Amino acid sequence: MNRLSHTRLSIMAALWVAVWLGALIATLVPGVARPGDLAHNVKVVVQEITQLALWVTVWAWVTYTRQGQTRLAQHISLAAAAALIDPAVLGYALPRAFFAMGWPWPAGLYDMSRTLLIATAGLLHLRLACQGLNPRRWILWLLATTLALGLMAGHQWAEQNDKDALNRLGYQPNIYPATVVRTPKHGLEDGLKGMWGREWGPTQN
Amino acid sequence: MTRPALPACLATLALSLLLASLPAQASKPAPPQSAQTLFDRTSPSVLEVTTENRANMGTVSAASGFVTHRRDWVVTNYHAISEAVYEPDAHTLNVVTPAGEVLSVDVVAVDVVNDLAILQAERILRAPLLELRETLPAKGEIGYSMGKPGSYQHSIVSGTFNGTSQKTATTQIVFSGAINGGMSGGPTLDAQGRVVGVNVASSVRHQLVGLAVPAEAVGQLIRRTTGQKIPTQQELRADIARQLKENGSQLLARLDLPKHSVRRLGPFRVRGDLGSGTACSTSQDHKTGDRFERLVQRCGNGDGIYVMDHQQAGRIFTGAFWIRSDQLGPAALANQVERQLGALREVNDEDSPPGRWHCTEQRLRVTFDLPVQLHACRRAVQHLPGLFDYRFRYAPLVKGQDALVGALGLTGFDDVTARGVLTKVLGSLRYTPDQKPEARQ
Repeated sequence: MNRLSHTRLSIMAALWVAVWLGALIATLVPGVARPGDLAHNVKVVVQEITQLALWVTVWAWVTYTRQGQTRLAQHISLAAAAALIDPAVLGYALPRAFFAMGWPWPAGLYDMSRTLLIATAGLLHLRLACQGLNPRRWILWLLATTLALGLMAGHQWAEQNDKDALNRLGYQPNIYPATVVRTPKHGLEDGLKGMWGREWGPTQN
Repeated sequence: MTRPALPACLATLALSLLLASLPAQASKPAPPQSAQTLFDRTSPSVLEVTTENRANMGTVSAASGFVTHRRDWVVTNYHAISEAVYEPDAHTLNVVTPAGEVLSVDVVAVDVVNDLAILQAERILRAPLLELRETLPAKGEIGYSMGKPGSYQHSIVSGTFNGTSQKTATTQIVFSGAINGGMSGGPTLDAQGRVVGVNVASSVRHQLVGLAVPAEAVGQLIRRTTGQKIPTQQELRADIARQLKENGSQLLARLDLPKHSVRRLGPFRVRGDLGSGTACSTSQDHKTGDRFERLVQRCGNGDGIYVMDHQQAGRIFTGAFWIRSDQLGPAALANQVERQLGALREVNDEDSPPGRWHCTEQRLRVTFDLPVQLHACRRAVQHLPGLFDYRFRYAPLVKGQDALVGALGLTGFDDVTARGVLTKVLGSLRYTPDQKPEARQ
């Protein structure tokens, strides 16, 4: 790899990181409404950066052991791009689309889609580290992904069924600004009738 | 010859006086009796009601009761025997006479709204029937409460009647005298020894403020139950569920009364009263450095009806959280709405009964086409078919500097009534964008 290409990759990596950080901060800033919120958000940003750095370090080390070079800029770009999708798409655009259309936000959708995003990013990092994917690596990735999704599903089930869940409503709201909300088609009476008409838990303990 | 006329005259006079005095004796109550006389006369009819765990024969609850109407019937509080109603296989229900005789009893009928129960003993009790007085005692009238306070001996406590209380779901007599634990279900007597009420509770905040269920409710339950066979557990529970549904319907009907209030929270109007005895409180939440202000209104209709431990019915409570900010943008304001909705996920029932919440959501238009996002959760009440606890959270989807999050909680209602209450709450919701915040109440 020549120096020019290396510089370009480094600039790209820096750009991705900047865009990701910008998106992360943009989603956190609206939450700053009380004195302690800023400190909390700084903590969140530091945690996110630390996680990304650890993730990149691990993949760079794997790459170094396989290829004798870290390909750090490419790993950073890849990880930052995936990290950008998390707040921008999964945490912002997708719920807003659901909310604007008035569709119910499926419980656990965010966690599951985030797990899939991490798995996909992992696949790309693996391909980069190993300079390609063979059937064995595909199987390894599939197993790891299945395990991650299984663990996530198990965690969600436990969250919804543990002792604390008895004193916690099982639905996470996804209220977003009412700027692009489609006018609901149901009035009060027929809206409630429709709600009571659908399956809404067992009718008896 | 004139001599014998005198005894005859005297006899006629005496007979006349006696006859004249008879109707007067029949219409007037017996003269007031001392506490000692009353105790001697009525204590054989006051029993201890115990619920025991079948596994180890340990006493789960101990209360009092009294014999009235039939010599094998004992009137007590429903709350004193509820374990035996819902877990009959695990509990035995007994009455203990002052002489220490233990008799097994069955539940004949309950009035869950008034907290009353009628038990039938396995055989006739050797105790006089206590007379019911189905009129409320006057304020200041002397009265007595009787019962067995815990491990202490059968007791009689003097006090005075002081009107009625409407703080609970039903009218209760205020008795200014001690009603201690274990005396629940015992009789509250007037000075003539007639039962004017059934001991049910005492205030935890005030000294010597006891509450009694009026004897009229006892009379109604007896008249309703006379001739009835001992019901099965399922029939009993179905009857309890029916009573609670009926009570819920009555609460809903009261929401139609013209006295209902709509309260103003900035540009929003929300329903205030939600039943008799509704109390609302308003508090402002704004700390230094906050970029928004929040006004919270909470209303509730007081304590609900006791159903079983950790379960009430007929309780309605609402919350309205008005959030306003000149500094936050729409996204930031929406973020505060999310936070508030998130905070409302936690159900503040530390000792709530087991049962998972099941939730759904609905987007709908209320009055003036105001779009509202509604989150609804419910869970079934154990043992009672068709009854649920509900938690509704809603937010009108409006643009601008103001946002509102509303919450409605219902315990022990059926679907029809819950939907009716929710319809009224959401139907009262208004949004007037040009309303300035200084107009708030």
